[in-house]
Parts: sequence; structure tokens; C-alpha cells
Amino acid sequence: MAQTHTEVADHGQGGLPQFDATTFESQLVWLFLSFIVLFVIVSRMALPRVTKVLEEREERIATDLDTAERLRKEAEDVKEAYEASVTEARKKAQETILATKESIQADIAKAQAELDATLGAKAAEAEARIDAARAEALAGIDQVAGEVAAALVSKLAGIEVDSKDTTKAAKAALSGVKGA
Amino acid sequence: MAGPLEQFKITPYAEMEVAGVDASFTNSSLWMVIVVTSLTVFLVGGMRKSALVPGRWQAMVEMAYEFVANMVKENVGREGKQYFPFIFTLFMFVLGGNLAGMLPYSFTITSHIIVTLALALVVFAGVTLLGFMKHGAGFLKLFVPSGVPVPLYLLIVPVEVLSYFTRPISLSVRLFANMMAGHIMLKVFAGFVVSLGAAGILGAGAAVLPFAFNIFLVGLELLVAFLQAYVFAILSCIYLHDALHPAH
Repeated sequence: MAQTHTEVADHGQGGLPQFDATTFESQLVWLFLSFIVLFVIVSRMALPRVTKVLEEREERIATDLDTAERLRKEAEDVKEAYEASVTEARKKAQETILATKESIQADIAKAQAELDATLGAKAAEAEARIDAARAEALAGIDQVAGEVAAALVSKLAGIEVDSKDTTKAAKAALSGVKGA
Repeated sequence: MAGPLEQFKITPYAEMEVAGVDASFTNSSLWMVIVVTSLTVFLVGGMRKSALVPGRWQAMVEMAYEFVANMVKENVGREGKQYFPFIFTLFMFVLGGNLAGMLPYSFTITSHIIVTLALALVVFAGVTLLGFMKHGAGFLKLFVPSGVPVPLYLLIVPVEVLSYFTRPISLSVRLFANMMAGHIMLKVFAGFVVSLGAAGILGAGAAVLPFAFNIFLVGLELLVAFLQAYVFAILSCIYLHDALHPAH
């Protein structure tokens, strides 16, 4: 490396400056010096910082992705729970509606039955009263007919007739009607 | 007007000698220092906040990091991780040197064969040493590919050995020649602009052509600057892969 060739005394004119061997030594010295300085700076300062930043970023992205995945799962769980509770509520509401409907229908039926019973009783009572009145009316009719007949005879024929006889006759006549 | 090769001239600013070795501070040294300083500012400054959500500057640093990290991962494998700082430094240094050379009045450190050859030899020597350290004599299997008919070894082994030893030369010459050729082209066409411009109205009109071409060349050279740094780094990765897995 320390070969000093001085064949071209006046370098520059004639021939490539690159082949002027007198400049080799200083170029090599400064090349190695600057290259080693750059290597030390690069390997000790520059690259470790970049490596650190890239690693931190990778880590951060990985944890962020993990967090996102966890949150997504949580949201899904919440959604599932919500859906389950909605279904439950709907079922309960349905049951309540059904139970209420049944109880109302039972009340209606009971009221109807009561009403029917009351009306039936009232009708029976009325019928009994009518029957009694009719029987009473029918029982009195013989005497009335007898008295009317006696009055008619005395008025028309001038004959005094005992009302007891006319009543007997009316009774006999009406018995046929009564039986019908 | 300076010739197209003038830009490659080494100009000493301060003569220095350390232990009998010429360590003069030259324009080349100056641009090496500028490249290292700029890269340090770029890399350390971009990470000064170390934000979880990067800003533009930090995103650029991270992009450079991931670009080289993926290159190492894909071409060397998982065990290449410990060589990542070296490959990163190599890539950034070459890229920085190439790009700094695109500044007007600058000096392109990577346009000198001695610089690229030194870098290539460091890679070559390092990779070879690593191969023998990891695999001992087994590293020589690199020159004896398996699954070849025995008589063919007479031909294949010398070819493999030759191609192995030309690696530092091809690696360094590729970068050096690309940078030098590009900068000569830029200078030549810029020279056309100046000499045509000096030749009256008609010449000034014609000077538009080389000027437009130079604009195109600047774009091309920026691409080459990036591409050659990439090629240098990826070939170093491939050589490293060979050292770690010699039986292919």
C-alpha cells in the first residue's frame, strides 16, 4: 500500500488523474479514516435508534391490534347479552298478555254465569207470580159469573134467583173451559 | 477552459505526513469529510425525535434502513444480520459519494479507482476471511460446484477460481468507470454549451441542444449514482452469502 510511484511528476496534464499513484496514499488514508468514522457513527448511533423505533412501532401495532380484538369480543358479548335479554323480555310480555287474556275471559264467563243465574231466578219468580195471579183470577171467576148471571136474570126476566145456584151452574160450565 | 478530466484532479490543500505516510488533506479528503458529515446529519438528525409516527425526514432514514435491511435479508439470509451495519455504511458511503459528485464544483470521491478498489478489496478480503473462519477448508467447496461430471472439474474449478479473484476488480472498476464516464459526459456537453455560446447568435441558438441533453444527463447520472451504490452493496451481499454458504 505504501508503494510510491512517481512516474508522473506533473500530474494533471496527460493521462487520467485517477492513475496518478502519488495521490493514492493520501486518498487511502482519508478513505479509511472517514469510512471508519462513518461506520462507528452508523453502527453505534444511527442504526440502533432506527431499530428501536421500528421495534417499538411493531410492538405498539401488535398491542393495538390485541386491544382492538379484545374490544370487539367485548362488544360482541354485550350484543349477545342484549339480544338474550330482549328475547327474554319479549317472551315474558307474551306470557303476561296470555295470562291477562285468560283471567279476563274467566271473569267475563263468571259474570255471564252470574247474570244468567240472576235472570233465570227472576224469570222463574215472575212466572210463579203470574201463575198465582191466574189461579186466583180463575178461582174468583165462578162467583163473579154467578152473580152476573143472577143480575142478568132478574133484570131481564124479573125473576129473583139465588146467586148460589147461578154460581153452581157457572162453575159447572167453566170446569170444561178450565180443563182445556 | 478546463478539460473534461480536470475535475478528477487531486488538489492538496494542506501537505501532511503521519509516520512517513502521506496524509495530505486534499479536495478528495474534503469531500469524504463532507459526505460523512452529511450522512451523519441525515441519519442522526432524522432520528432526533424517534417518533412513533415518523415525519418526512425520519421516514427517509427509515426507508434507507429498511431498503438495506431487506437487501441483506434477501441476499444473505438471517445470519447476515450482524453484517448489516457494514453493508449499510458501505451503501450510504458510496451513495453519498456518488450524489455529492452531482453538486456543481464538487469532487466525486467514487470516480477514483483507488477508492473503489480499496472498498472492493475490503469486501473481498473480509468475505474470504469470513469464509475460511466459518467453514475452514470447506470454504473451498465454493470452487467445486456439486452435480457436475468429474472430467468437467478440470475446466470448472479454474474458471470458478478465476471468477472469484476477479470479483474485486469487476466490483471496483464498475463503480469507478460509471462515475468517471458520467462526469466526463456531463463536462463535455457543458463544454459544448460554452463554446457554442461564444460563437455568436447562431451558436447560442444551437447551444440549446447540448444544454437540453445535459439536463437529461443529470437525471440519468442521479439514477446511475443510486444504481451503482445499490449494485455495489448487493454484490457485497452476494459475496457474503457465498462465504456463509459455500456449497451451492
